[in-house]
Amino acid sequence: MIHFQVPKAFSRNIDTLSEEEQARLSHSKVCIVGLGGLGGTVAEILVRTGIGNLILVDRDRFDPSNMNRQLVCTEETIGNLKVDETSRRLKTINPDLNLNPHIDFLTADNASEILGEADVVVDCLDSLEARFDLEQAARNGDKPLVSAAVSGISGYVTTILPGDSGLQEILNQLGEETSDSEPVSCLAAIVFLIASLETNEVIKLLLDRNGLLRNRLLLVDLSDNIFEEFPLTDLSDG
Amino acid sequence: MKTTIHLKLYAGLQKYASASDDNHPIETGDSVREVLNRLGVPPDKPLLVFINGNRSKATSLLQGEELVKVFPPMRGG
Repeated sequence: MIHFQVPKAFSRNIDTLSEEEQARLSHSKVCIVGLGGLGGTVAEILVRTGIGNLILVDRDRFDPSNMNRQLVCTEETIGNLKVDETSRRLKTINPDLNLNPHIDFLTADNASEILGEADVVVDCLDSLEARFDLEQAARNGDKPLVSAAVSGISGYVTTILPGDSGLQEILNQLGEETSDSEPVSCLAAIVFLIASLETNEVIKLLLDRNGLLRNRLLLVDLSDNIFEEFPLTDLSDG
Repeated sequence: MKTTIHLKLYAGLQKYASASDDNHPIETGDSVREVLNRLGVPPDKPLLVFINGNRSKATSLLQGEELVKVFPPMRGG
């Protein structure tokens, strides 16, 4: 067995993670689709936890309206590509990080190539339609997907393995009102919290740990400090 | 027949009622949607509904005494 020398940057992970687990994370590859509020924070936490390989996907540039909740959005980065600025920041945390940036939106046509060899896919999108496309792409690639969404001071997280009914169970009664055209109001507090929970699911998947939010939706509502799980079951005969 | 349900609203729906109402009045046979419409929730608003812990539909009919939890789908990232 090859000994893994834990870099000092990650030495304070040890005990909570074993050295073998830290080594496994350094060889893991995670694809983050969407680099807004959730995606930028998920990327930051993954890199600080020691994930060694990231695929980053987004075509947008930072806009002043991103400032309230997007970690990488600053006065210096406004107008610049989110993929470029997020990559730059992550490299300052871990110069050995292996990055595979895609200045693009994930589509059915490019999904297979972009998801590539990812061990886990993270849904950090802000559009319902794109979420379904991503879920299908992850399913086609036989990859686990961690999905989250936020609104106001609420949000939810779930983990979908290939073969699970997944987002359809959460979003199968959508009407016209859920148009993707309206911007969603949300505060940084819920964005960072949900991103943390989403990242924790990724780490559990990578390390084969128990307690996944599989077929369960964890709802967080900060108005009353509510953390509540809801089972996701098939409604087809309901 | 008049009866009550335990109604819990989350994620922005609290503006239509108190977040938790352990004795929310209904008529036997009301649907979840009818109950929420009376509170002012827009009739076309997509909803995620759980009755006694089970994923249900907004059209599900209530008999009374159920624990009904409702929140809207979210898409922000």
